Amino acid sequence: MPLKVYTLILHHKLNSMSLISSTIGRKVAMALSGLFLVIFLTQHFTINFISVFSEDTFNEISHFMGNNPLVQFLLQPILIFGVIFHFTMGFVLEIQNRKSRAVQYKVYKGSANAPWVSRNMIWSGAVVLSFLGLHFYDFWFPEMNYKYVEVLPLDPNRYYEEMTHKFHDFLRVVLYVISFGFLALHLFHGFASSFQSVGVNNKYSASIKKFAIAFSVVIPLGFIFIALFHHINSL
Amino acid sequence: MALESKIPKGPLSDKWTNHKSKINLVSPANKRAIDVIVVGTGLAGASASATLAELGYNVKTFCFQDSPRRAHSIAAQGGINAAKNYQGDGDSTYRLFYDTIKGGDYRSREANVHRLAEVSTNIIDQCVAQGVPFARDYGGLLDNRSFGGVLVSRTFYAKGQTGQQLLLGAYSAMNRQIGRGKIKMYNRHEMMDLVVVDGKARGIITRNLVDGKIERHGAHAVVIASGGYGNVFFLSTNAMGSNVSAGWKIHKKGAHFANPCYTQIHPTCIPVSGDHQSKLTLMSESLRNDGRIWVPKNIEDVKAIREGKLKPTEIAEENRDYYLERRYPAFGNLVPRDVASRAAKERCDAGYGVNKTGEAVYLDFAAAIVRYGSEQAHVKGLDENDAALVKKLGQEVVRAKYGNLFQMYEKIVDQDPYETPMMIYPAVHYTMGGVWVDYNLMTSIPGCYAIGEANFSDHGANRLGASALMQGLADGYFVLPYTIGDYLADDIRTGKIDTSNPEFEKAEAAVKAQLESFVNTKGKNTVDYYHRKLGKIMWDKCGMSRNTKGLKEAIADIKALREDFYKNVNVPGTTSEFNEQLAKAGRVADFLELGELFAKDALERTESCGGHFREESQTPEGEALRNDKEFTFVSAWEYKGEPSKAKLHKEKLDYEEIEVKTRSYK
Amino acid sequence: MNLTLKVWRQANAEAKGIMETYPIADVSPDMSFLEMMDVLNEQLMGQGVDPIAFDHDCREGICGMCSMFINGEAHGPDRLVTTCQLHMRKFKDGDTITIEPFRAQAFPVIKDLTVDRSAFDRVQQAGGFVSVNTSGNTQDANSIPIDKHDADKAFDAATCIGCGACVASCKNASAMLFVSAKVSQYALLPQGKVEATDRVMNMVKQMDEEGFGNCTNTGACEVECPKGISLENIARMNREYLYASLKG
Repeated sequence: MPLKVYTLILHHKLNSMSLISSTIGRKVAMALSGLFLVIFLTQHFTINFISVFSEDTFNEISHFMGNNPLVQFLLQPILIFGVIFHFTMGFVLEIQNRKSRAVQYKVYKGSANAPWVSRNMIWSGAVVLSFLGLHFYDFWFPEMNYKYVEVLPLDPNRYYEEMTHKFHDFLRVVLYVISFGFLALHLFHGFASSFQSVGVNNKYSASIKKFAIAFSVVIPLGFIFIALFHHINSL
Repeated sequence: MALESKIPKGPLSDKWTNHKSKINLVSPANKRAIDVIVVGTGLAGASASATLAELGYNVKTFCFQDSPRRAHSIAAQGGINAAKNYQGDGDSTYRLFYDTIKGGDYRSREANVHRLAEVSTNIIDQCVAQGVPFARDYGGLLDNRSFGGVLVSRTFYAKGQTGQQLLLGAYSAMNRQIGRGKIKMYNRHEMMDLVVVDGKARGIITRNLVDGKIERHGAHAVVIASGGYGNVFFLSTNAMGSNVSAGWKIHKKGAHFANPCYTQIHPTCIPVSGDHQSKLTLMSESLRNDGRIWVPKNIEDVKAIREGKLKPTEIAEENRDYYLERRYPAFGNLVPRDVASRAAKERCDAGYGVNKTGEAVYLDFAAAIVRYGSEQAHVKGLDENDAALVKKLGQEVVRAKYGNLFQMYEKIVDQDPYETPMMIYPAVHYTMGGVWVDYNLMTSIPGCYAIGEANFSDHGANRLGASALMQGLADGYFVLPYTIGDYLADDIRTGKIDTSNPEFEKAEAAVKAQLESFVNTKGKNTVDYYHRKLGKIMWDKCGMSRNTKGLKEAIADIKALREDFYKNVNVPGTTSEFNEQLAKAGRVADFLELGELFAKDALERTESCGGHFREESQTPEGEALRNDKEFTFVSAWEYKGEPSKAKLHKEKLDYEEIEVKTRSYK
Repeated sequence: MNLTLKVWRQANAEAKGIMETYPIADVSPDMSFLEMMDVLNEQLMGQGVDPIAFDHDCREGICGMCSMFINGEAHGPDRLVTTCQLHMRKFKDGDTITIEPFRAQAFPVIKDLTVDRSAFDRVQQAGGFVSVNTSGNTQDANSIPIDKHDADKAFDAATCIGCGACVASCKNASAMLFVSAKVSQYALLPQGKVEATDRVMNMVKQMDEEGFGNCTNTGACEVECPKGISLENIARMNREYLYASLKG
């Protein structure tokens, strides 16, 4: 069935009204944008991880990503849209969900029936979003400034240097570590859950869940490792 | 008024077909101008509402619960009978008809029962088409099991919640019509009285239970589908809200009440645990397919068990008394309910009851677990002699069949029935008696119908297992929708019923006066105090066995209790709010009248038959002894101001197709 | 045992509610929770206090009418039971028990612990049925064999008793588990497949109109459901819905 569904997505125009305005539609949209961000995260991690082994390869790939028109003018806007959509929708849903129970319980034992991570996606998400602000401030804004505002000359070898420079600051590394901790929490629930949202719950679900959990631990740990690696190297 | 049963002429098996072909119909255009009220949303009420609406009538349906899906049909566990003969074990319409008549101890109306057996097969087709998830075998076909009092497997089931699944089917059919606007549904509304104009039922007075508003609803016909009156015993397997009020109100307006003393005491219920008990829980009769009922043979073992020194599993096979298998070898543990209940009572009265109160017997699955386990081991090619493995496999089979019942038992009793036998004891479960109706299901008030458990028609003095669901749906889906047209055909020119008519005003005023008097009595006893007292009188004196002395005492006691109730009941709050105590007071007031008629009916019928056992009328072995010469009739009581003055009308029962015999399950 | 009960009291839908504290003595561990409430009500009436209104009917865990939120959980701390089947042996002498109504915008309080769950009825009226007339002129029940596994799954979904514990437990007051159980039952059976598209679209639309929240897959509903309805049903409804909305 899922396969059939996704072929239909390709062949039919989206019935946008019900898909975006209904509870299920929004849930699916959250899941799909989340899964998209997971893919982005994977490639981002792969490139960063290369910096641990080879400065040259890292610079090469970074230069490609930063200057290839397809990446810059197609993938990058899609990514930004994905990010904005995911968190805006997250907040919209949270507000709606709170409205659906205006009078709160005096005693509500959430821990009895659902894990902390699943009940606090808004908070783990908010931390990750703030981190994204920092991340943009650190890399994306300077990058945009470099390329499109001041239009400085191309320098295929500046990326490694710029990155390691950022990780020199201890406080920033601490913030990175904390943020990736929250990203792990966010992924811990979000990744596996997005499969449920798009309707996948079958005999493979247990394996998917295991993979998603491994992913949610390994990738943030990897990012933390990279940050610490460059921090220690820069001392 | 003479009783006119309106049974069609002709051979038994053609009566219903001929009748359907000959009765009057209402044209589709005229149906749109006709309103029908249905009170109650159990299997009968929901199925009737849906079908009447499909036919084109404007239906108004009422239930006191917060949703029509909550009606107590939902609690039926075991199954529904139908003469499908899918198992090829010799079943037929005639056999179902015969079993039902015999099971009812030859006190039901032959033509009605035959019709029931005829339409039984349609019910299954209908329910499957509606998406009712009946149990199926691996070939994808419907599965059956066996119930008490029969020698074939004709019971269709959906694990232990057949009632819920059938009710949800009927409810979904209703929902479809509510969505189309053909049914107007009134949740949390209680019928307070019937309005009769010029001798015809023309509407009802209701109370909105949320805000207390009294409302008038007019209609061209009123259908009562409000279930049975088992709660007159206070402790029963009925829901807390189940009540006789709708049936009793119409009785007081002229509908005869038939056979009130025919009560079914179900043999497999969870025993009473203490004075706080508010209701009893049934364990499905289907358990008797696999469970064996026993008590210890030796009184010393009984004592040791009660003192907690001995476990039932420690009693050796030869020291157990499988009394049903001993007394009734042909049917064994699957004798009809009345027989099984009395046998349990006999053992407990003799001192062999196995719990603290001495009112419990064992229902044991150990043998079934071993039997199924070996079978599974064999099928899977595993070691059949490995006791632990066999037990594990056997428990899995039993879990698949009765899992939810076992879980329920464990939650209530705090014992694991997979490891130790269940304790069970009989409890009030169903009332075969009810509002008297003719072949068309019309009461003695023209335009007022009674269907399902609320009427008396099909089960005689004892109902067979899995037949209540069958009757409820048969009445609602396939009988009433045809027969009501015969009456309504004369009503096509009547026009909208005017609820400002003085009869409506009078009825409303009386309802309001009674409610006000309840809240203004400000006595010292709660409503439940009276209900419990009434229940105790009923259980002690009109319960599983009855005698002249007890019944006479019951009549006097109930009368005295009723008088005290009106003087000393305490109903807190006001009439214009959500007030559960007020609603309950009205229901208990009606039980206090019905109880007396019940005892009077039981006193009048000096024979034993089905669920009605008179100690004066038994064989030397203690089996029930019928008196066909004097009592082959339906007792229909006409209200004459108060229960003690009720006038008895006898509807003679003629058996053309069946030879009336002593009922034997030996 | 002796207990302290903190109970939500609210005279009617418009009134403001508060928690009231009532001590109760000599509670037997064999009592069901509702029998304990009966005893409390008898006690309150004796003191001239208005008894606590709560919904209940069958008291054997199948009608779905009882609906209390006990110590922060729908139907209390025990699993796979409704409040009427919750027994006092699950509590200890000296415990304080907080009792609140099921809370959701879509379930307005009627009085005290009684709430209006007719939103569930309306969701089903929107499409929770097979459009077949009850004439009895349908084909033979055995004419369409149904895979036992599908039939069993349909049954599992159909065991939902419509109590609303899923909504009450969900931090978002979402009704997905309930609606998906109904959608699944029919989606799994050949009889229901014919109108699957309209059914899921209409039922979800009605669900949304009633003001239930969104599903965030916390799984609380599945844990608290007295009938153990599986989250698989929600996934199935998501699929059905996606398919239906794309099919248009």
